[in-house]
Amino acid sequence: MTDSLHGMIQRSAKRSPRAIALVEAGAPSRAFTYSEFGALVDAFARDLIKRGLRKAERVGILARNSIEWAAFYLAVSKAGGISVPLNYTLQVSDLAEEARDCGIAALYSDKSLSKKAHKLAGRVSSIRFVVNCAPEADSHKGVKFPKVKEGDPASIIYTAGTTRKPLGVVLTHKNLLSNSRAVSEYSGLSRRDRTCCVLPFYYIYGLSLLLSNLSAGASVIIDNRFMYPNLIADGIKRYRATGFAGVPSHYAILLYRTALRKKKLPDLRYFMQAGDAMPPRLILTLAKAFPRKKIYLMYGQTEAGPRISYLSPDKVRDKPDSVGSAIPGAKVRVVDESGDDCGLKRAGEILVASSGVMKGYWNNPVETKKAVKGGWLHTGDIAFRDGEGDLFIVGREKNFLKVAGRRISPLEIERIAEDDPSVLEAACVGAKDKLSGQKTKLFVSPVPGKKIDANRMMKACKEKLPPYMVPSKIVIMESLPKSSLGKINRKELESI
Amino acid sequence: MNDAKKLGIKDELKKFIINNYLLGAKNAKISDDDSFLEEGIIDSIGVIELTNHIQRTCGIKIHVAEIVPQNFDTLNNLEKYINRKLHSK
Repeated sequence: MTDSLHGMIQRSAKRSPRAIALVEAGAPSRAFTYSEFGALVDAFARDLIKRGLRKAERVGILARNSIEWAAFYLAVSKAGGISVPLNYTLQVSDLAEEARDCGIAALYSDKSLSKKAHKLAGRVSSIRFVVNCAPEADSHKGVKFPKVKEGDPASIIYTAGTTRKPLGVVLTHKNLLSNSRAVSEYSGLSRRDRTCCVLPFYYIYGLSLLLSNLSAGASVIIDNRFMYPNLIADGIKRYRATGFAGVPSHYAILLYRTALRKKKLPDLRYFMQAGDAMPPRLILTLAKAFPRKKIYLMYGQTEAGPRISYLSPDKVRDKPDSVGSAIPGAKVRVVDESGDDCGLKRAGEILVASSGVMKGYWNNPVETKKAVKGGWLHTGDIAFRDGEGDLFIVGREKNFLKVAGRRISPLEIERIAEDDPSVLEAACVGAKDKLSGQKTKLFVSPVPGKKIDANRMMKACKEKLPPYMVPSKIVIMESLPKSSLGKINRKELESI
Repeated sequence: MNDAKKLGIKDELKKFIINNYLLGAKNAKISDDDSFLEEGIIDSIGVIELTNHIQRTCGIKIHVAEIVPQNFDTLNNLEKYINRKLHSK
C-alpha cells in the first residue's frame, strides 16, 4: 500500500471519526474531530487543485499554529504538492531567499500574517496565488487528486544554519511517516493521548509532534500562549493533557516562573525534551517535581526526519546527560575520523541510517553528498557511548569554536557553569581576540531568587578546564536571549 | 522611575517595547489596544523581561499569577494594572 501524509489522516478519520484531532487552547477554545478535520483537509486540497496547483509544486505556509495550519499542510500533500513551512518570525528578505530557493508557487497565511505574506508574494515572482482563509466545506466537489507515492517529497524544511546559508531539507512522505511512527511507538502514544504543543509547526520538532500524534489517532492541543506561561500550566490541567513537549527554556520557565510544580496533574503521563541540550540539573528538577511522570530525552536533526535517539525514561534519573540509543528502525554509529567505529567512551561523530533520513537538500547535490554517504547521515555532532550503548553528546557541529588553533565544544564549559546551583542557564560563545583569533565568553542567568558568584565560577573553570578553554569573561544576565524556537540565541550573544 | 515619570507609564512602556521587541525600527508602531499575544509582539522570554522592567521602574512587586492577558496583553491593560498596584501600595 502506498503511504502518504494525507492517507494517514484519512485512516485516523475513518477509524475514529468522532475523536478529537486538534484543540486550540484559549478563550474561546476550538476543537475539531477527526471527521471535521478530514473534511477541512479535503476542502483545502480541492481548492488548491482548482486554483491550478500542479504535482510537486512547492507551497509555503506562513502562519501561526492553528487547526487550519495543520489542515492546509496535509491538504498540500493530498493535492500532490510539497509544503514549505516558513518561520514567520524571519524578515521578508530572508523568507524571500528561501521562497526563491525552492520556487514557491503558492502561499498560505493567516489573518495576522497576511500583510507579510502579500509583501513576500510581491517579491517572489514564482508565487502565483495566496490562500488567506478556509474554503467552503463542499466547494469544488468532483476534483481529481494526483497519485502520491511514499518516496515523493512531502516537505522542504529550511534549517536555521548558524554559520552557513539556510539549506532546504527535503523529506519524503516515507521519511516523515516512519519517523513519526517510531516516536509514537517508543512513547506509547495512543488514541487516549492529548499532547500539549507549544512548539511552532514550522519547526521540525513541532511538526514531528503533530504528525506522531495524528498518526496515533491522539489529540493535539495547540497552545500559542507561552507568553503567559501560567496559562500554559493551567492549560495542561484544564485540557487534561497527557503529554507536554518542549525545549529546555520552556521547562526552565514552567518550573521556575509558574505554579506548575504545585499542580496535581493526574492525566499527565509524559514530558518530552529535545531541540537543545538541557542542563542535567534542570532535568533532575523536573524529575523530582514529577516523580511519577515519564521524561523522554530525545536527540535529532531536521535531516534525520528528525528523531535519531531517545533515552528510556527509566534511565533519566541516572543518566540525565544522555540522549539514549537509536529509535525503533534506526541504526546509529559513532565513528572516528577514518570512519571506524569508536570503542566504548571514545568520542566520535554520530552517523544515522533510517527511513527518516532525508532525500537530500533541495537543489544542492554538493551539500547532499557531504551529508549523506552510503545511506548514512553524517550529523556532525560528537558523542561517545557507554556500556549500555547510550549516547552522550559532547559537542554539536554548529556550536564548535576554534580557540588558539584548537576545536572546542562550548558544552564542556557550559556544564561547569551549570554545576553551580545558582545557575539556571549557561551559554558559551566565541568572541574575537587579537592574539588567539577567538576566545570564549560565558553567559549565565540565575535561578530566580539566587545570585551568581562570577568569581567562584571563574575559579571552578580554571580548576577544571585547560587554560585555552577558560572563558575570558563571565557575563551575568537576568535571562539569556532566545530564538523564536525557545533555543538560546548564540548569535545575539556573540554580538554583545 | 525617572523615564516613567517623565513620559508617563504608557509611553515609557511603549518605548521599552519598541526598543526591545520591535528592534527600535523607525516605522515601528504599536497601538494602545494592540494585543501583544495576537500580534506576536512579545514572546515568552520577553514577558519576563517586561515584568522585571516594570518592577524596576515602577517599584512594584508583580506576582507570577498576575502575569495574565487581562493585566498584560495591551498597553492600556498594563497601564490600568500598574496604576491599580501603585494605588494599593
